[in-house]
Amino acid sequence: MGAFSLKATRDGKVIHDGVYPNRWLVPGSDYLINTFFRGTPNEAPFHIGLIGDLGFTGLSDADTMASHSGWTEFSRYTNYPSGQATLRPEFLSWLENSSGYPGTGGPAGAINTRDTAGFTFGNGGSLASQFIVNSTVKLRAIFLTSGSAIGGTAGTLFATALVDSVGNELRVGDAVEIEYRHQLKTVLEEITEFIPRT
Amino acid sequence: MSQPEQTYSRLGGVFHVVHERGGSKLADFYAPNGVTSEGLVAMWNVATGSPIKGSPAQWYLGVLQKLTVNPALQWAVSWATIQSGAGRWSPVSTQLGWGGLLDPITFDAPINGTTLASVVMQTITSSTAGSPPFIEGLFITNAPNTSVSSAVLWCTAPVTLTSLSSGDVLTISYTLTTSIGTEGL
Repeated sequence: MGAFSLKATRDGKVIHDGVYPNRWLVPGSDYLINTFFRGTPNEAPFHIGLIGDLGFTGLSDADTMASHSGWTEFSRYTNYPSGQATLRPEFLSWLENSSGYPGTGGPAGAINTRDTAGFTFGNGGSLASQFIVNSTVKLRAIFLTSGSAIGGTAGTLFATALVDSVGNELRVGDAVEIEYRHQLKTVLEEITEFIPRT
Repeated sequence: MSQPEQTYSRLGGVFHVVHERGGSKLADFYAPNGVTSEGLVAMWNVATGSPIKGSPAQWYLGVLQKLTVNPALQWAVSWATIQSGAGRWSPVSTQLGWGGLLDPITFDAPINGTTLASVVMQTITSSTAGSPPFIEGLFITNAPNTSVSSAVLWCTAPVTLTSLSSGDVLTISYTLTTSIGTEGL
């Protein structure tokens, strides 16, 4: 299970702080199986992207990076701290222990992973700044992908999360920090549904 | 106001065991797997490009004798547990004619996500009558043999197979089903 934590600041003041559960998508499940059990090359590193309200009608569990009719990626930002205006921030996964620090361990049967990605609006690249001057955005959703290029359609779309049904307005110069936490755990369940049908 | 839901990847594994002697079926049952924390960590590490112990490209089926494990604690065992033979985690290999090697298995491609990664079944013929007299556990690892010191134990499963004799045939398959689970907050 995973969730995105989003904190937006303006002039050093927090203007938004929330946690949003993800919807892990089928291609994400297939990816785990294929890379782990079948030797399919991994697509690391992962990246985090933003979805604005322009043309936004909703997220779908059938969304992929190549096809998502209900939303458009918001691309007018600079990737902080790299200053990149063309690449989405990387999700550099690490394991954390029960105290929230990197390491193995943690609560019984559960492993947590997390990373923080930073977005700074209008801070840096001229191309980004030019776009941002005339563009505030109401942030609607977040996504986790293996694709690196802002606005690109390549890569696997692992998860999405709705941030706000109305949208949190961000302005030029606002900074957004997003942390993604993913928990893996084993649970005991009846096996009936896992027995292959013949 | 409805509560938001989150979805997650759900993996369910089950072993299918068939024990035959002289063409007669002595046992035919399913056994649920217990995925280990070591396995989950390795899966995430592979997905995100971090190294793991051993290769994720090839997996193997192993058999344990005299396994006693609380299913609620199956997550806590590891390849080190298997290799040490600690307690009752004693791998069986030579008695089943494997010569110390574990049986390689191949996963099919998942289909439509709700799917299956199934395993090619291997036929095992015990070569030594009465040794071991019974099998109490199955496991899946990426170690090709029991002498490999650094590997990942993906899962285990308690089973009960008694009175094995030379020439008996065990057909064991492992099916991993993936689906998307939903949970309200």
